Amino acid sequence: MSNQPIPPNLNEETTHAIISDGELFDALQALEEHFQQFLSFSKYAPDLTYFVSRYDLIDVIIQVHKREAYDRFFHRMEMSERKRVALYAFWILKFKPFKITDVRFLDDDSENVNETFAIYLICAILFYANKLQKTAVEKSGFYQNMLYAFRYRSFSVDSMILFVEAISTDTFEREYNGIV
Amino acid sequence: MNKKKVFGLTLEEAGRIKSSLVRWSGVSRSAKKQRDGSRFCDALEEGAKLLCEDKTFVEVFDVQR
Repeated sequence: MSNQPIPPNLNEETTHAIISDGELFDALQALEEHFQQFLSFSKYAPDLTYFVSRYDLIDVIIQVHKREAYDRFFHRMEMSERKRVALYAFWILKFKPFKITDVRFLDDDSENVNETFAIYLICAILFYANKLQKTAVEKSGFYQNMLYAFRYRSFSVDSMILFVEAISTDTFEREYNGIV
Repeated sequence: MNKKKVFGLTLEEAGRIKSSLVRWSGVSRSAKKQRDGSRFCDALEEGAKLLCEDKTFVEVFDVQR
Protein backbone atom coordinates (compact mmCIF):
# COMPACT_ATOMS: atom_id res chain seq x y z
CA MET A 1 0.00 0.00 0.00
CA SER A 2 1.17 3.49 -0.75
CA ASN A 3 2.49 5.59 2.12
CA GLN A 4 0.76 8.70 0.86
CA PRO A 5 -1.61 10.20 3.43
CA ILE A 6 -5.30 9.70 2.89
CA PRO A 7 -6.83 12.86 1.41
CA PRO A 8 -8.99 14.66 4.00
CA ASN A 9 -12.13 14.19 1.90
CA LEU A 10 -11.65 10.39 2.08
CA ASN A 11 -12.04 8.66 5.45
CA GLU A 12 -13.68 5.63 7.03
CA GLU A 13 -17.08 7.21 6.40
CA THR A 14 -16.42 7.31 2.67
CA THR A 15 -18.84 5.17 0.69
CA HIS A 16 -18.47 3.81 -2.79
CA ALA A 17 -19.79 6.20 -5.44
CA ILE A 18 -21.90 4.14 -7.80
CA ILE A 19 -20.95 4.31 -11.47
CA SER A 20 -22.67 7.13 -13.35
CA ASP A 21 -25.27 6.39 -16.02
CA GLY A 22 -22.99 7.79 -18.73
CA GLU A 23 -20.02 5.64 -17.70
CA LEU A 24 -22.30 2.61 -17.45
CA PHE A 25 -23.65 3.21 -20.94
CA ASP A 26 -20.12 3.61 -22.36
CA ALA A 27 -19.08 0.33 -20.73
CA LEU A 28 -22.17 -1.40 -22.11
CA GLN A 29 -21.39 -0.04 -25.56
CA ALA A 30 -17.79 -1.32 -25.37
CA LEU A 31 -19.00 -4.74 -24.26
CA GLU A 32 -21.52 -4.87 -27.09
CA GLU A 33 -18.80 -4.03 -29.63
CA HIS A 34 -16.54 -6.74 -28.20
CA PHE A 35 -19.37 -9.27 -28.21
CA GLN A 36 -20.29 -8.50 -31.82
CA GLN A 37 -16.66 -8.86 -32.82
CA PHE A 38 -16.44 -12.13 -30.90
CA LEU A 39 -19.50 -13.46 -32.74
CA SER A 40 -18.07 -12.40 -36.09
CA PHE A 41 -14.92 -14.44 -35.35
CA SER A 42 -17.00 -17.46 -34.30
CA LYS A 43 -18.79 -20.00 -36.44
CA TYR A 44 -22.18 -18.39 -35.91
CA ALA A 45 -24.28 -16.97 -38.75
CA PRO A 46 -24.77 -13.17 -38.92
CA ASP A 47 -28.50 -13.60 -38.18
CA LEU A 48 -27.77 -15.52 -34.97
CA THR A 49 -30.38 -15.11 -32.25
CA TYR A 50 -29.15 -14.85 -28.67
CA PHE A 51 -30.37 -13.64 -25.31
CA VAL A 52 -28.50 -11.18 -23.14
CA SER A 53 -29.47 -10.78 -19.51
CA ARG A 54 -29.14 -7.04 -19.23
CA TYR A 55 -29.46 -7.15 -15.44
CA ASP A 56 -26.50 -9.51 -15.18
CA LEU A 57 -24.48 -7.50 -17.66
CA ILE A 58 -25.04 -4.26 -15.76
CA ASP A 59 -24.17 -6.09 -12.54
CA VAL A 60 -20.88 -7.17 -14.17
CA ILE A 61 -20.04 -3.54 -14.90
CA ILE A 62 -21.00 -2.43 -11.38
CA GLN A 63 -18.80 -5.13 -9.81
CA VAL A 64 -15.80 -4.14 -11.95
CA HIS A 65 -16.35 -0.48 -11.10
CA LYS A 66 -16.47 -1.34 -7.38
CA ARG A 67 -13.13 -3.13 -7.61
CA GLU A 68 -11.60 -0.17 -9.45
CA ALA A 69 -12.80 2.10 -6.65
CA TYR A 70 -11.36 -0.32 -4.07
CA ASP A 71 -7.93 -0.26 -5.72
CA ARG A 72 -8.02 3.51 -6.00
CA PHE A 73 -9.00 4.03 -2.37
CA PHE A 74 -6.97 1.37 -0.55
CA HIS A 75 -3.94 1.09 -2.84
CA ARG A 76 -3.88 4.49 -4.62
CA MET A 77 -3.65 2.61 -7.89
CA GLU A 78 -5.35 3.05 -11.22
CA MET A 79 -6.32 -0.29 -12.65
CA SER A 80 -4.41 -1.60 -15.66
CA GLU A 81 -6.17 -2.95 -18.74
CA ARG A 82 -5.00 -6.46 -17.82
CA LYS A 83 -6.70 -6.31 -14.46
CA ARG A 84 -9.82 -4.81 -15.95
CA VAL A 85 -10.04 -7.60 -18.53
CA ALA A 86 -9.47 -10.22 -15.82
CA LEU A 87 -12.32 -8.73 -13.78
CA TYR A 88 -14.68 -8.63 -16.74
CA ALA A 89 -13.78 -12.25 -17.53
CA PHE A 90 -14.33 -13.27 -13.90
CA TRP A 91 -17.73 -11.64 -13.54
CA ILE A 92 -18.91 -12.83 -16.97
CA LEU A 93 -18.02 -16.36 -15.88
CA LYS A 94 -19.86 -15.81 -12.62
CA PHE A 95 -23.08 -14.26 -13.93
CA LYS A 96 -23.10 -15.86 -17.41
CA PRO A 97 -25.13 -13.09 -19.07
CA PHE A 98 -25.10 -14.49 -22.63
CA LYS A 99 -27.11 -17.38 -24.01
CA ILE A 100 -27.36 -18.65 -27.57
CA THR A 101 -31.02 -19.32 -28.34
CA ASP A 102 -30.65 -20.12 -32.05
CA VAL A 103 -31.78 -23.75 -32.60
CA ARG A 104 -29.30 -24.12 -35.47
CA PHE A 105 -26.38 -23.74 -33.09
CA LEU A 106 -27.51 -25.44 -29.90
CA ASP A 107 -24.54 -27.65 -29.03
CA ASP A 108 -21.71 -27.91 -26.51
CA ASP A 109 -19.98 -24.88 -28.00
CA SER A 110 -23.03 -22.67 -27.69
CA GLU A 111 -23.40 -23.68 -24.04
CA ASN A 112 -19.87 -22.39 -23.48
CA VAL A 113 -20.53 -19.00 -25.02
CA ASN A 114 -19.75 -17.11 -21.79
CA GLU A 115 -16.53 -19.06 -21.27
CA THR A 116 -15.38 -18.57 -24.86
CA PHE A 117 -16.23 -14.87 -24.68
CA ALA A 118 -14.13 -14.57 -21.51
CA ILE A 119 -11.25 -16.30 -23.32
CA TYR A 120 -11.76 -13.96 -26.28
CA LEU A 121 -11.34 -10.95 -23.97
CA ILE A 122 -8.18 -12.44 -22.46
CA CYS A 123 -6.84 -13.24 -25.94
CA ALA A 124 -7.50 -9.62 -26.96
CA ILE A 125 -5.22 -8.40 -24.17
CA LEU A 126 -2.63 -11.04 -25.11
CA PHE A 127 -2.78 -9.78 -28.69
CA TYR A 128 -2.10 -6.20 -27.61
CA ALA A 129 0.72 -7.40 -25.36
CA ASN A 130 2.17 -9.20 -28.39
CA LYS A 131 1.89 -12.50 -26.53
CA LEU A 132 -0.46 -14.27 -28.88
CA GLN A 133 1.25 -16.65 -31.27
CA LYS A 134 -0.20 -17.06 -34.72
CA THR A 135 -0.81 -20.78 -34.32
CA ALA A 136 -4.40 -21.98 -34.09
CA VAL A 137 -5.22 -21.15 -30.50
CA GLU A 138 -8.42 -23.17 -30.42
CA LYS A 139 -6.60 -26.40 -31.14
CA SER A 140 -4.05 -25.99 -28.40
CA GLY A 141 -4.28 -27.95 -25.18
CA PHE A 142 -3.93 -24.72 -23.24
CA TYR A 143 -7.14 -23.36 -24.76
CA GLN A 144 -9.02 -26.56 -23.95
CA ASN A 145 -7.71 -26.60 -20.38
CA MET A 146 -8.65 -22.97 -19.92
CA LEU A 147 -12.15 -23.60 -21.30
CA TYR A 148 -12.62 -26.59 -19.00
CA ALA A 149 -11.34 -24.68 -15.96
CA PHE A 150 -13.56 -21.69 -16.69
CA ARG A 151 -16.57 -23.98 -17.06
CA TYR A 152 -16.10 -26.32 -14.12
CA ARG A 153 -13.50 -24.92 -11.73
CA SER A 154 -13.89 -22.22 -9.15
CA PHE A 155 -11.76 -19.06 -9.25
CA SER A 156 -11.41 -16.11 -6.95
CA VAL A 157 -11.17 -12.58 -8.33
CA ASP A 158 -7.54 -12.32 -7.30
CA SER A 159 -6.57 -15.64 -8.83
CA MET A 160 -8.12 -14.56 -12.13
CA ILE A 161 -6.18 -11.27 -12.04
CA LEU A 162 -2.98 -13.16 -11.24
CA PHE A 163 -3.63 -15.62 -14.05
CA VAL A 164 -4.20 -12.94 -16.70
CA GLU A 165 -1.22 -10.89 -15.53
CA ALA A 166 1.00 -13.98 -15.51
CA ILE A 167 0.23 -15.03 -19.08
CA SER A 168 0.26 -11.50 -20.48
CA THR A 169 3.57 -10.38 -18.99
CA ASP A 170 7.12 -11.75 -18.95
CA THR A 171 6.87 -12.96 -15.36
CA PHE A 172 6.96 -16.68 -16.03
CA GLU A 173 9.29 -16.44 -18.99
CA ARG A 174 11.86 -14.62 -16.87
CA GLU A 175 11.61 -16.78 -13.78
CA TYR A 176 10.90 -20.20 -15.18
CA ASN A 177 12.29 -20.13 -18.71
CA GLY A 178 13.30 -23.65 -19.77
CA ILE A 179 11.75 -25.47 -16.82
CA VAL A 180 8.50 -26.44 -18.56
CA MET B 1 -31.98 13.40 -25.68
CA ASN B 2 -29.84 10.30 -26.20
CA LYS B 3 -31.98 7.57 -27.75
CA LYS B 4 -29.12 5.37 -28.84
CA LYS B 5 -29.60 1.77 -27.74
CA VAL B 6 -27.02 -0.71 -26.52
CA PHE B 7 -28.15 -4.31 -26.00
CA GLY B 8 -31.66 -2.94 -26.57
CA LEU B 9 -31.33 -0.42 -23.72
CA THR B 10 -31.37 3.36 -23.79
CA LEU B 11 -29.21 5.30 -21.35
CA GLU B 12 -32.25 5.96 -19.15
CA GLU B 13 -33.28 2.30 -19.06
CA ALA B 14 -29.74 1.20 -18.22
CA GLY B 15 -29.67 3.76 -15.40
CA ARG B 16 -33.00 2.49 -14.07
CA ILE B 17 -31.77 -1.13 -14.00
CA LYS B 18 -28.56 0.02 -12.29
CA SER B 19 -30.54 1.82 -9.59
CA SER B 20 -32.71 -1.23 -8.96
CA LEU B 21 -29.62 -3.45 -8.64
CA VAL B 22 -27.99 -1.03 -6.25
CA ARG B 23 -31.17 -0.76 -4.17
CA TRP B 24 -31.51 -4.54 -4.07
CA SER B 25 -27.94 -5.02 -2.84
CA GLY B 26 -28.56 -2.43 -0.13
CA VAL B 27 -31.69 -4.24 1.06
CA SER B 28 -29.88 -7.54 1.13
CA ARG B 29 -26.95 -6.21 3.17
CA SER B 30 -29.26 -4.55 5.61
CA ALA B 31 -31.18 -7.79 6.09
CA LYS B 32 -28.03 -9.75 6.89
CA LYS B 33 -26.86 -7.09 9.30
CA GLN B 34 -30.06 -6.93 11.28
CA ARG B 35 -30.44 -10.71 11.74
CA ASP B 36 -34.04 -10.00 12.59
CA GLY B 37 -36.89 -12.16 11.29
CA SER B 38 -39.45 -9.48 10.62
CA ARG B 39 -36.93 -7.15 9.08
CA PHE B 40 -35.70 -9.96 6.87
CA CYS B 41 -39.27 -10.61 5.69
CA ASP B 42 -39.68 -6.90 4.96
CA ALA B 43 -36.49 -6.99 2.95
CA LEU B 44 -37.70 -10.00 0.98
CA GLU B 45 -40.99 -8.29 0.30
CA GLU B 46 -39.19 -5.18 -0.81
CA GLY B 47 -36.96 -7.28 -3.05
CA ALA B 48 -39.94 -9.02 -4.60
CA LYS B 49 -41.54 -5.66 -5.30
CA LEU B 50 -38.38 -4.46 -6.98
CA LEU B 51 -38.19 -7.56 -9.12
CA CYS B 52 -41.80 -7.18 -10.23
CA GLU B 53 -41.36 -3.47 -10.91
CA ASP B 54 -38.36 -4.12 -13.06
CA LYS B 55 -40.03 -6.98 -14.91
CA THR B 56 -37.21 -9.44 -14.22
CA PHE B 57 -39.72 -12.28 -14.00
CA VAL B 58 -41.37 -11.22 -17.23
CA GLU B 59 -38.01 -11.40 -18.97
CA VAL B 60 -37.29 -14.83 -17.51
CA PHE B 61 -40.64 -16.23 -18.58
CA ASP B 62 -40.22 -14.75 -22.04
CA VAL B 63 -37.04 -16.75 -22.41
CA GLN B 64 -38.73 -19.92 -21.17
CA ARG B 65 -41.46 -19.56 -23.77
